[in-house]
Amino acid sequence: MDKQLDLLQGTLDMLILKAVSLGPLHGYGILLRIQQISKDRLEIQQGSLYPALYRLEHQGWIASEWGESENKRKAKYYRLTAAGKRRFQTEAEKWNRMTDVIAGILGTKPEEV
Amino acid sequence: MTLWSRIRSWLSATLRRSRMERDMDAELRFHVEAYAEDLVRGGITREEAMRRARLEFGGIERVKEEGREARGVTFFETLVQDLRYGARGLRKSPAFTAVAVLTLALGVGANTAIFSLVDGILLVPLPYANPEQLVSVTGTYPRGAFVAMREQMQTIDVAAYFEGHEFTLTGRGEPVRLTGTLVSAELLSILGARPELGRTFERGEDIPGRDNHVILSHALWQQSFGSDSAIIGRSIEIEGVSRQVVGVMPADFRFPSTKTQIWIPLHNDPRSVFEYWAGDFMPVIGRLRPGATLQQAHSEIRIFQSHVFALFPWPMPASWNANVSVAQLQNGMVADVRARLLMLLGAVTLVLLIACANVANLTLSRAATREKEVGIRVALGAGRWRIVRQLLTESVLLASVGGLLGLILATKGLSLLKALLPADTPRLMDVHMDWRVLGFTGGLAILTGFIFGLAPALHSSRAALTESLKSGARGAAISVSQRLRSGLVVAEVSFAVLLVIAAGLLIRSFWGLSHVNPGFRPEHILTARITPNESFCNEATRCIAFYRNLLDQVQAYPGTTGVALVNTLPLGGRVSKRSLDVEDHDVPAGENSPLFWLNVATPEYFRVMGILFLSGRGFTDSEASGTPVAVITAETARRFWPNQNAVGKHVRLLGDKSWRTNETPPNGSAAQPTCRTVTPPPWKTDEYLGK
Repeated sequence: MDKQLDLLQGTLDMLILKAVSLGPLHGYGILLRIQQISKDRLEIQQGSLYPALYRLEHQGWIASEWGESENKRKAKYYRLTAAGKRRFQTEAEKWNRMTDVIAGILGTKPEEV
Repeated sequence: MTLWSRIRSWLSATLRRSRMERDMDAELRFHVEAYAEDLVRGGITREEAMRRARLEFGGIERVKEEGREARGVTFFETLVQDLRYGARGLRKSPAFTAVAVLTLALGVGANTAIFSLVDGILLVPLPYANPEQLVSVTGTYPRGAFVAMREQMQTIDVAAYFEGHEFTLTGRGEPVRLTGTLVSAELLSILGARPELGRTFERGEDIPGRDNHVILSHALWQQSFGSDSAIIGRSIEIEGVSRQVVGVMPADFRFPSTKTQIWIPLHNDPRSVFEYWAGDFMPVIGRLRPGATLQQAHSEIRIFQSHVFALFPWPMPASWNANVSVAQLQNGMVADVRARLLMLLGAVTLVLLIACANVANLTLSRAATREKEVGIRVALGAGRWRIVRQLLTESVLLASVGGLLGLILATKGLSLLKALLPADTPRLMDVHMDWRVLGFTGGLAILTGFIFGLAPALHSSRAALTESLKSGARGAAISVSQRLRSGLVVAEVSFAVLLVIAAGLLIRSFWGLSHVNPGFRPEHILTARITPNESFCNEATRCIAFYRNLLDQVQAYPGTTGVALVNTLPLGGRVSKRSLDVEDHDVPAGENSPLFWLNVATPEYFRVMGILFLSGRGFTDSEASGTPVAVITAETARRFWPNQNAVGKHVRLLGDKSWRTNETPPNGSAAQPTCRTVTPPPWKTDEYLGK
């Protein structure tokens, strides 16, 4: 297995938004989903997830409510709000443009300059 | 929408703090336990799984703290914590606290008191209806010119007034001396003033025959008429003339000033030529008509001024009201005191800056003894901004206590100031402490805390960091500290020097003023003002007999060495101005005769006042019947007959048939060295005419 990558600054928020856009999840579930989608290639500090969740909720991108987990325990579930959906779209677009540009630059061969 | 969600989340987090904490606890516990269960499923013992789950999760307390911060609930908690900590620290060093609080109280108190003045006099709008429409004409006009202005102006409705006439109220036991203001009929309605009782004057009530009315001030109505509301419609006797009381103004109406006890309509009688065209030169106020601008009013008054000269029965000096303009009434009223008030405000600001520098210095020296404490906090993980914030909170706390004490000082100081300031300071009665002043003081205290706290806080936090890093930069930190402190001292000394220089200049001017030779000896002279009723003096012989009798009776008092009568005392009151024809100085056609300040005196006047004669003689008792004579000042003699003997030359009052012979110029410039009207006469001179 490849060595796990540390998360780029500022990308955790986007990953959380993506994870909850697929359906309401509790904190631990969000962690699992990101790891599952990334095929375990990303390393997320478990503790750092929660301040990010609170920040997103504070800003109104996600909302939370208490529900019951798969093993019948009380857990807090997060879902994407309408504002969060718009936010995620613009963020994702920005990210795609950025990676295109960066990839373009990095992929430039000497004779192309 | 997101703003709303932020506020909501902050509110619920702040107000339902314990629930938020419980939720956070439960959520994090769920995470750890869910993870541990997954690990157990992977074949590890439960205990081992919990241990690893906790380990991998990281510091729960740190996560919680970051979570609280993310919800914005920590701000107030930290504030309260810092305040409590700061208060404890200040209590532990009472000497420092006392000195700092007192210093700041002085600075803030002085600023608050002066700001109340500036606010009440310069900033708060005038207490009249639509004050932005009210204007003042920056010139003074006699009745005739005002009446013409009232008829001609299209952009403003104008009103004239004359403050400070004294009247005698008789017919109710002891006669009472009243200070009244003559007003044109529309003055009160232009100001939008409503009477407390009755009505204000109506249009046309300043025309002879319709002007026998009077309006009382609230205070006079209370004191002399026992707040009797039946007074409306009754007649009272003022200056021997019966006038009907038509209204009582409310207590908070004070125009032109608090001195006014009665308002009496102007007596606009074109038949009394002298009174009509030269009696009282009155200030004029106005209200912009709908749609008119200040600029239009200004242009119109300039046009009016250019042809008002032709209306006068005698030529007026070309310089009369030459610079007339129309200004906002508020600016016009306070123009004289604006510069002085702003200078005072500047001075107290300097005092506050000195106080800030002083306290900053104290805080710095205190910081040296607190280095260890700050160092420990840094070692425990406090960031630089956390330290700065804590120190700043402490400074603002200190400043707030100082501000509170300053507010008490300011309340005392303001009443003292109001008592000390000249009573004719415009709008002095409008000055009081209100929420605006409180807001100002609050803001000032917090700002002060930041000003004196920021540099020491930044400095301490940096020193603490270098210390904790053990980078050997201790020497550097100390030199920075010393530079900062000497900078503060330099600032303090330069502010202080500025203040001392300003104070010195003021004292110098005062000294200069008190050493001007006024041309007379003010020692051992008592003065009294006598105003017999106008109606009493209509008959000349009766009037003269009254004054003769008065002089004789006063002369008989033991210790009296001389008694005299004069129209206007030197350096005080109004002087009448008249144009004179001067011998050897024929005025070419189309130009104006020179305007003189004119005084009337009895023969003894010059001796009583100690005014020395340069040549010639004073008046004698026989002057009244013989050839008319005049005494002129040295300045007038130099002006008109340089290098000649002025004695024996002649002057003639405009309108007089015969010439008056000059007697003698008294030494120096007895009386009015400065002109108090807006337009100074061409030559500032005093003439004495024998009566």
